[in-house]
Amino acid sequence: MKSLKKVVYLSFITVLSLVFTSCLSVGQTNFSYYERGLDRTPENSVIFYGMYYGANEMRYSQDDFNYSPDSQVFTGRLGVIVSAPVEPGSHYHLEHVKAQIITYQVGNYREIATIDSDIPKNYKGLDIQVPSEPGLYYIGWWEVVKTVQNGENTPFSGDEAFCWDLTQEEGEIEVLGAAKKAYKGTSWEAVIDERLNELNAGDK
Amino acid sequence: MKKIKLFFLLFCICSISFQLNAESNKLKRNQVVIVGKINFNCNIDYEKLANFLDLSDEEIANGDFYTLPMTSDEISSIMNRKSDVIPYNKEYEKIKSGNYFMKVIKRDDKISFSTQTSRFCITNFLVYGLNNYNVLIPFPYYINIPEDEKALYIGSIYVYINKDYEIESINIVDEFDYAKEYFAENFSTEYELSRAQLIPLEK
Repeated sequence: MKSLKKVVYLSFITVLSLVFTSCLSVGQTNFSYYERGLDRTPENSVIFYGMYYGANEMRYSQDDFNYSPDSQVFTGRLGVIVSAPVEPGSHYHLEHVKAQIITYQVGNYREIATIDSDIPKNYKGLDIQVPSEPGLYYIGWWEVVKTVQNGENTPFSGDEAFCWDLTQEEGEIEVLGAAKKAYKGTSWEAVIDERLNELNAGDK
Repeated sequence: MKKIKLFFLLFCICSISFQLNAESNKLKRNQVVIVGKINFNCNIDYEKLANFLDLSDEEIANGDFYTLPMTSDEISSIMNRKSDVIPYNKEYEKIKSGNYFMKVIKRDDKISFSTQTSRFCITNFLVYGLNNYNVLIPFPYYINIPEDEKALYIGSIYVYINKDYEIESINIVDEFDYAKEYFAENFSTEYELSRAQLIPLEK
């Protein structure tokens, strides 16, 4: 009986690790990574990437008048965000989000909500100010019951049961794996590989 | 005796159906009407925004809107039991910025416009009436409704928003005489509009 338990336990662990490692990928988007990556290269553009774990659909829109309008939709169960190459210096607002449970920041308040909603312009907690330097930009990752404060994932309710215990660096490696698949065959692949190697070297 | 009872019952049914058929601006016994005005002053560059979003002339001429204020009752009715929902939906009635709203609601002793725990909010300001250019406006007050009152004026609310869509200030001004005139013309002369006293929600 004991060995059976062990087998069940081990297979459970294997399944879990399969779910949580290396199978991250971007969901559906309203654009093609390949096409957008043709003229927007690592020399003149930025890719922002991260994860909003718990969101099923997100729409980010560029809202700075000095740059051209752009709207990117990310759909997927895990809330992986890998943007199409965007203009350095532009500003993206999370306009619409569909999620079951999510935390976000409103000024000093943190809230848990079930939403399928347009996010007001004065909710800036999840806005993205794209850096003016071209290249990769990691926006971090958020969890269902955690929120980001001062660059750190902060537990929201003390309920750690649903937390996926990953550091920001580990999260970045996960999302970069998805980004690498999405940008296969473009000039961005080499840049992503470079960053992955850097992160893996830092681990050791 | 039975006949009298039956007659009484019939009379009741008749009077109820008569009430239902009454004109739309007649309040039922358990209803009150809340009157107010919300005016937005937004400091963004409208011309640039219209260019940026490639709006039609018609849309530009329409100007800004706000959604009808929600009471905490309504908010909690659309709230998930475990968590809060942004009380915001495309189907909500839109009113032009600077216009009066008149909202018929179910009578309660105490009516608030924001829930206490989450600062969810009286209304949404919609730049050019666009759902994706909205600013959530908090209104942490409640009002008591006296038993004999049918129409209450909560004030004229002036909201100032800066170019980053942040709320600079919210001023509540008493324009009771104008509101009274508007109410008499547009709702009914049958009810007397009176001032509601705003009481801040405790934090």
